[in-house]
Amino acid sequence: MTLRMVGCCYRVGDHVLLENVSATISSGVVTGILGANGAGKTSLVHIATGAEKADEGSIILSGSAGEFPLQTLSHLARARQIAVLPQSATLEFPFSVEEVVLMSRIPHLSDDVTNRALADEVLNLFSLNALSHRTYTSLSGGEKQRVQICRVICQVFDQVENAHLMFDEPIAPLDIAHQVAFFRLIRKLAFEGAAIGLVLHDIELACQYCDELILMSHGKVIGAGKPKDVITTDSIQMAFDVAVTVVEGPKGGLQLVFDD
Amino acid sequence: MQKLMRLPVLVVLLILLSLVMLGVGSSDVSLLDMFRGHTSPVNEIIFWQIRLPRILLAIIVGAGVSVAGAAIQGLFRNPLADPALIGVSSGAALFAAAYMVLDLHSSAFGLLGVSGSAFVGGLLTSWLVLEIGKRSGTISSMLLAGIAFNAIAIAGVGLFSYLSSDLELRSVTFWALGSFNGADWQGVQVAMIIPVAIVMLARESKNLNAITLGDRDAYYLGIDIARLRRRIIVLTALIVGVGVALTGIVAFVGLVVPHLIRLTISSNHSVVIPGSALLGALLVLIADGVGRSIISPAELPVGILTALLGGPFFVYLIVRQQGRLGV
Repeated sequence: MTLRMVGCCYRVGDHVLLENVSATISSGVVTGILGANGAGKTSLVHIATGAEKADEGSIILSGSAGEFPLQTLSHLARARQIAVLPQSATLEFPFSVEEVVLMSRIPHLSDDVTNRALADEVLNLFSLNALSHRTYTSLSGGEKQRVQICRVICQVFDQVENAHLMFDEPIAPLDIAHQVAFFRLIRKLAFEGAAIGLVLHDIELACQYCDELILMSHGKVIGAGKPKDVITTDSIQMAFDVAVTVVEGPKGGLQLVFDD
Repeated sequence: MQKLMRLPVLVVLLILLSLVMLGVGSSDVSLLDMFRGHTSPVNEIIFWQIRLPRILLAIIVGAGVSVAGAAIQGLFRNPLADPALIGVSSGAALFAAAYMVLDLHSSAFGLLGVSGSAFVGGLLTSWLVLEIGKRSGTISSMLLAGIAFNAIAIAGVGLFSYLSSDLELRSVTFWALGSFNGADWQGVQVAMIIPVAIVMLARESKNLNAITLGDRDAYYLGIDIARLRRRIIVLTALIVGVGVALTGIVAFVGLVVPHLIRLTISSNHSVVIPGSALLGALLVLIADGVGRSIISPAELPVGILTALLGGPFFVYLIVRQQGRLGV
């Protein structure tokens, strides 16, 4: 399922958070969303997934069932196809890890046995099986984040080909081994047909693992397309106000060298 | 799975204890005597018209305030929230007291009128607390606002008791301390709305689980947050309002009981809600039994006992969970 934002504007009070944003997050593609703090990345995620209403513009979904606006979906129908990991987790109650992951199945009609099997499989993907009976609140920050990532994946795991997954800064609390594990997992889901959007801060990782990038600055999209086309000395200067030289790294990746 | 077996144990305990409590009180009537027919007409009246409705009311209200506590803690995503703590109970008490002192209760509505008035008071307070939370966006400001409303409402109840004549004064004190002393079948009838609200809240268990993740996360799980919030607020205000109108504020039960269930069984609301209903009924039944036998033939208001037991436990929770609570 491909998701398109067309001419979206979003204001809160006097602040323009998104200005005429058009962007596409395509089926089978991993799309990275980059930009400075306050550039509008999180607003883009919220608007694209209907958590906030755009003042202007529309969100169009297209897939095997044809093309339709996001707001025509019921809350449940939306949740069965679109799963999102927002930025901060606030869970303060001592649920077990398995219970947290199983919450992802709330919008579904699948039975308990199926749900448990799905949760188990997803936890396995992120090597969390050993923790499944641990209390969530007793975990470290990185472990909590992995559990939350599993929860979001489990929400659409039985129909990945129609799914749309968005993660807002998923890898910040993860160590590099788990960052790589996350990207491998995400690539696999995209290969199976999911449309995936990731808000990221690490530009080099984004270039290595994303098919497409959306670069944002001051609420606008200032670049979209293949990483090599989007990430340039000029665009980084414009988006982050940082002077860098972009060099080609090994295996076709990009590296940023800061000019001091 | 093993832990879930604790729920049926609670059911058995509750039934046994109810039977025992039927025999507790200042006059010597027991279930066994009633069964054998060895009773005087006076004892029969005591049994059927005083003890039985009192025990039913203690069970219903104990279950109700505990479930309301569990639901509010889930909704506020804070294990320290509670209808009594955030002013919902005292808001209800204020409106109930106002209804009585302004002498509206002599009208045809009677007990239903007091209950309805308390419901409105509870609803108004919860709505105000939630609105303030929405404006400032943080849960702690919501809790603090609730504490302020609580103080205002308690002052209001005090003002009414100061203004009122002697008889009413005692009934206003009754709101603040909680007692099952006036229990009768009419009260039990009005209280039957509480089990209905409990069942409706139990049906929100999964949604309450989702909302503990965060409002956004719950939205992404397909939940209409605004409507869920309204349902929870109305149902808890209904329980608290009717409970307060019938028995006054039974303190700390709603705060402590859901915790005990979370600590001993599970945080899953599908367990916390029925578990809180059972354990809440059990504990209030015990507190009431102790209250009416400890200084017999006089009796202690149940709210004094629950506060004496619940207060220290609350402090223990704060110390134990230091740094882990989002207050």
